[in-house]
Amino acid sequence: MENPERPGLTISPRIERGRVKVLGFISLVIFILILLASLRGWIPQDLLALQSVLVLTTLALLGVAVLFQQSFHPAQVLAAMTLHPITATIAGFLLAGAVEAAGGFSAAARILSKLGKGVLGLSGVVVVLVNVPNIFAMPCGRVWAAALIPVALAYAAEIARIRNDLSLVAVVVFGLIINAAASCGPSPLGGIGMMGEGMARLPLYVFSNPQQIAIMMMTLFGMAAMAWLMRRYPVKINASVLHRQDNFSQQQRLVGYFALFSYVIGLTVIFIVQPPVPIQTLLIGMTILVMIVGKVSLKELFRGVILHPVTAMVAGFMVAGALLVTGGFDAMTQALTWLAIHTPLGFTGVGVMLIYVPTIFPMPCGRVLAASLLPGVIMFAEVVGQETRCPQCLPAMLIAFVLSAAASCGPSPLGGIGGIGEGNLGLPHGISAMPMQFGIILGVPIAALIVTYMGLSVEFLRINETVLSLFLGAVSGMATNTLLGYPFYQPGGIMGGSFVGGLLMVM
Amino acid sequence: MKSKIFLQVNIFCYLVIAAFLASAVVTSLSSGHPWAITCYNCSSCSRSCALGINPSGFTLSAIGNNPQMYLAAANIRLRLGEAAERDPDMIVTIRGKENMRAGQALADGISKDAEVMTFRMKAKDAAHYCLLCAACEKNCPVKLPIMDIIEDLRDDGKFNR
Repeated sequence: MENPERPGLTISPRIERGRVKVLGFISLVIFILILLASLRGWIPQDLLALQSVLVLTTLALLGVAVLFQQSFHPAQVLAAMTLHPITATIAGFLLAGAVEAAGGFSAAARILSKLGKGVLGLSGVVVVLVNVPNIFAMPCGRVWAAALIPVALAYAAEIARIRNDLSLVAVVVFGLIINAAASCGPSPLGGIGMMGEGMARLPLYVFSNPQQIAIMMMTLFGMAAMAWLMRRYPVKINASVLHRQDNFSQQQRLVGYFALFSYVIGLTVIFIVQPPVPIQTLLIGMTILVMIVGKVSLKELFRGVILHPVTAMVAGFMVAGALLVTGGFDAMTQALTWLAIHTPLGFTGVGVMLIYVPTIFPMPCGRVLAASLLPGVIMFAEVVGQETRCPQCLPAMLIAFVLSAAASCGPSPLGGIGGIGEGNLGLPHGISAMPMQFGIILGVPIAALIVTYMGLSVEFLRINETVLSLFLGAVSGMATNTLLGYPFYQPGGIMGGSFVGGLLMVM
Repeated sequence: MKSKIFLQVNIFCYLVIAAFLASAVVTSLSSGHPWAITCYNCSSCSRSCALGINPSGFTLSAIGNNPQMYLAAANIRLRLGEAAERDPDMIVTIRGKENMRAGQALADGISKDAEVMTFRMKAKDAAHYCLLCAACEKNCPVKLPIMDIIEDLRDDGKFNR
């Protein structure tokens, strides 16, 4: 290879390879150290916002690339960028903002309150509410999170008043958040699962049902961990969430109901029909409809847009792009391969570590690590499959990684969905991360076990999967009964859980 | 004073983020394929490509207006000489050795007539070898006209439309 600075003088291929490797490892170390410093709070957020840290890291990594004479095109930084979740999030926020301004979510809270007094009871409604994002899985969980967090807050406040336990607000809200965060995994509208299926050349949607069942259980584990945390280490919740006013006139209430039904029916139709039109276009169309009916102004609409997660996502993609340029992700795969060969962990142990990399280093959007590490996961899974002689090893490891990545935007302190809940409840920054990570760690293997022992299929209402989903749904309902302080056998919770389990198989 | 400086740094970084996002729109417009920004990046298109190309790389190259962008192309067999002549940095698998650059393999003394399997190549080169079967378009959940990009790049390796 010719030295670009001194034509005629050739650089040995071995030196060239060494230079690229060193650059990759240096950039990986810089990235991990800065990520750790942000996660641990060593870089104070009140001085330097997370997005600024990520942008400065990008510039530093590109600077290192220049120092190492690594030639790159600025557009290469765009290579890691996935616009789909960013635009879907913005469109989802706009629609949620319009529905909120039209009183749609207050209407939802009123409906839930009435349902809670009916046959499902409080726990039955909670199971259904926290699993809505999983049932109608959108390509970005923030679409549902933006809409349902106000509803969950209003309903959870009512439960807290009835049960005289303020910690239940956090249990319900963070249950919804972890469910929403993970729901971009099984989404048939461009979810992360589709990336895994596409890259491994598996039939489309084979990962959806196992992921949905696992997310239902992940939500339960996350809620249980949150309940334990709030009881063991009581943290003061902002009590103002208990006193939300619903002072809408009869006319405004009717508009609210209409906005809510347009929202729910619209999203359901999109989900079932899956028209060959980008979901963003449909969401904006629905926003315009709700704006006209609810007489919502542009100012009110923009109140629904939360820029923090959007900017954090873009900044995350920028760093990922810089790491692609410097070979940081290749270095990570090489380091893991070295660990697998030279330590007792072996390929199986390192494979498990690889699955949980997105949970250990949670980014504001799981797609950042999913897109970068999926090829490495496939490579590892093939080797582990040969070692363990398990033919289902590749899809099992892949679905586990996809789900771990998808759910990781929940606990991410770098602008994850959990931050929205913490802000609303006035909780310390990052307190919800551990319970959610606990839920992910326990939930992810369920998807892998389903794939390993039941195989992959797109068959509608496959008997073994449906029975398992109904059973785990009922278990989820029983556990929710207990979490809310009712006897585990209360029928409302069990009915709600079974209903969710059935819906997961139908949708 | 210290916090004021950090405030300005934060504002600068947020402007960089906004500019970065805006640049994706501008470059996709200048490539002549602005619809590329609607790609889901779900890789559904790659499932049926006989050549192992991941066609979402074409939409990424259109978003960045960069035909030199590398994409996965894992099932194209070439002679080493042809691969190195087209792009010395093309990543190939040769005699069981993975992730070698074609140029390096030649410099290591491997015959230019040796058969290699490609692994990663530039979007313009993948467009050159594409079979034009349009299987990728059929699998796209939003039916994006991916073939438009491939046909555009196929002629001269540049975005001209």
